[in-house]
Amino acid sequence: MEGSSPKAERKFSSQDVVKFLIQNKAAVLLLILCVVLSFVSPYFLTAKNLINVVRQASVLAIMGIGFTLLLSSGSMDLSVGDLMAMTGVVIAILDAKIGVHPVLCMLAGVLVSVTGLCLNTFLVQTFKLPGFILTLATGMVYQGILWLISGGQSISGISDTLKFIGQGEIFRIPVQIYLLAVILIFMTVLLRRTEFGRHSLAMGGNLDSARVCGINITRNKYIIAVIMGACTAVAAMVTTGRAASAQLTAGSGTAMDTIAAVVIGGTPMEGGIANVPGTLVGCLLIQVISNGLNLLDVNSNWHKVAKGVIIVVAIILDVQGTKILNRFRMKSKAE
Amino acid sequence: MERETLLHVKNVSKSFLGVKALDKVSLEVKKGEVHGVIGENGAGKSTLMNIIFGSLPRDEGEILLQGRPVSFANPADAIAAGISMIHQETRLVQQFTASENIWLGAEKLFSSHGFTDNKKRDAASRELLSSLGLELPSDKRVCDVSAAQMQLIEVARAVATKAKLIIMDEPTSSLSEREVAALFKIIRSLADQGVSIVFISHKIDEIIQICDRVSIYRDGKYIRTSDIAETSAEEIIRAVVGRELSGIFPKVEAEIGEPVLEVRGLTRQGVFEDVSFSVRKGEILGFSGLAGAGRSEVMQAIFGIDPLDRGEIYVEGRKVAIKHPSDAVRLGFGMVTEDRLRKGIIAKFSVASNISIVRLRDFCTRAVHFIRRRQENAKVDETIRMMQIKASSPEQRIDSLSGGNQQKAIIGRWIMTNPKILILDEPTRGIDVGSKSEIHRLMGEFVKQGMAVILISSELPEVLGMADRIVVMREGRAVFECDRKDATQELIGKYALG
Repeated sequence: MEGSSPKAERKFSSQDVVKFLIQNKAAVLLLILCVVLSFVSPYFLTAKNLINVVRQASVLAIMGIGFTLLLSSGSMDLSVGDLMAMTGVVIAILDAKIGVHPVLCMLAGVLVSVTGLCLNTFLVQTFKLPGFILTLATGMVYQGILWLISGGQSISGISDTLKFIGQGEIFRIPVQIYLLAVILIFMTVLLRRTEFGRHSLAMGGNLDSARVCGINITRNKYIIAVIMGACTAVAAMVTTGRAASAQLTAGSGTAMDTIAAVVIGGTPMEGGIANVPGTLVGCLLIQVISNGLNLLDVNSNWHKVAKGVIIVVAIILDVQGTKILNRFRMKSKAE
Repeated sequence: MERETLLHVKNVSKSFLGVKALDKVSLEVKKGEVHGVIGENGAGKSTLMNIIFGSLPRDEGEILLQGRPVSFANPADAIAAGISMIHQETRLVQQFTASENIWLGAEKLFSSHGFTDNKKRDAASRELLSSLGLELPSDKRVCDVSAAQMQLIEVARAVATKAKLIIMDEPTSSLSEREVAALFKIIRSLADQGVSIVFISHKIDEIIQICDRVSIYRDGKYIRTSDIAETSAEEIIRAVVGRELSGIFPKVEAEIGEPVLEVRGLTRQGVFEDVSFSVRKGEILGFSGLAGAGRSEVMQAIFGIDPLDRGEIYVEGRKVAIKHPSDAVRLGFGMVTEDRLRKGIIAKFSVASNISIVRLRDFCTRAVHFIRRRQENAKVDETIRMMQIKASSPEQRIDSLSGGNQQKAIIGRWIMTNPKILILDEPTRGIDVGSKSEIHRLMGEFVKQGMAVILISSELPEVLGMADRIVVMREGRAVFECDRKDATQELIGKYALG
């Protein structure tokens, strides 16, 4: 590892290995966890359990993939969890209590989520507020509305169409996996291959620069709100359908889990870079932690502790990993 | 008379993960001397200073302070030993007053029983500041003072810690000429009192003006130290870049045509007023003036970054409304902003993505805007070649390039749009001499192709050397305009200072 060794020999040095490990920390953690769990619990590696994990992770992943766009474009939104729960309740009320056609219910759900996110965007953009604080407040508003319109009761009697989205299978694969796949492909292509994606990342990377380059920031922020809103609504449909009722507490902790999954997956908090597949891995990681603790019959309060610890570890890896990578970059610059 | 040596750095080396950033580098600073340090970006100046100041450990070599070997584990040790460093970006606490900043970490000088006597401290600050020629109310917060005043507060802080050696890292990069003169007076008087100054700068004329000796570094190696009296600007430039430069400002004569941009009565309340000028095809229009005269602000308003209260903008004779930078881009403007890091580069993007960002649409499919990578890469490669950007790959992150190459990439970003009017706001500030002369050469190429260039520069020789016509701004007004042939340093200076 001396500076004098010829370049060709260094092509696959320990440097590259470290770099790979840091960039794919979520996958590495997931792999380690899976190996450990497969030894500790005989039930872990069964098809039934794994499908269950994926099914549970899919809601988080649908949110997370939308959030990857939001975060990498330099925005922050803590209200998405509450908004998802509120949307679920609106869908359930329209579907179960009023008897509106399920397709219209879903459209209404999309409308509710999109409106909520656009409202956040409007307030942030118009009054130049920090999104972090503002969405903490609007999240509270959405949660309040959810309790008001539901009257504090979870809403059951969901129609079969909605249940199908949360519970049904096509070719023995859960419906939400298809939805997730569509969103995953959509977002990957959007961020990697389109002008809009590049512009969004530029906004996250350097908002002032993006403005000077003639990018219409306000318009793009609204488009991002619409996309995130659509993801939130789909997540709400799946959650409601899976439980066959609208859960009032469905949104609690969702925003935190989503952010954690996105950041563990390699999308930095400050934006400018997006890692969509990483988000998927991050979601699986969080879900496997819960699943593992369940299998080991650990008190569910420990789940929160474990999740918190993992998030702390992920953030440390994120910040320190960036530092280490920067040192590598300095080195290649010096060359 | 031979003065005693205060600081002697001998054969210091430093590697970052196997790559040598410093290779047996030396520096000898005498007591009461102003010692210039010059070198291109990446020459190792900052690394060396950080090692002296205790921010970085060294791999080998030794540092002697007044003949005794020293090794500072951190900046606090260095400060205690009498070394202060004034960084390029201010390290003052913005919310604190000047007085609080000056004595930060030394409050116990005014304390009894753990309580600080603020009145006593502020009195000491006032005395110190006025001895440096800076009158400031003691309760004024640092965020409310100018860049030059911050610089002086930092100097005051160094003096307050009884520094024997003050390292100044490009202290003049954000100062106007008058402020530079004031700073130089203070540097001189400190030197006369026996304080040694290490003065890092890219500006050769400043080095010649203020320094007693200059040490030159290139590619992590020590080149030599010369007495200023026995060297010349050309000699220093040659040593810095290690190659001959064909004149600092290679002005290319281009054919000047019809006016492309004309503005009348531009006003933004409280910022600039009634600014009118025009620029023609193939012409370089220079903007001179002090920092804060409103030059950048006028350009930002024309480009749609800031709002405009009054005034008309004509592009090729047609009146236009520019409400957003996207309007300006569509009308054929290009804008290289003053602040490369804050408003120029997108640090996390590759060189390629940084270059193509404005003209992405050209490589996109019609209906849904998918990017055609191959077309994008081809055009980016062409731009990198034309701008002579030194990058190992277009996919390299832009922040891993040197400042000069970053700047060339940002200019390339706009050249790719084929602009009719290119605004360059301090395009060569803080970049190495080699890149600087390349940017000057490129500007000549641009106007030869019929572009109109607006050049804002605080460096008078640059404006005088490059511009066909010069507009001088003072306190938000365009106060003077003249042709290249009539312009002299004295004339421009007279109008800029008022």
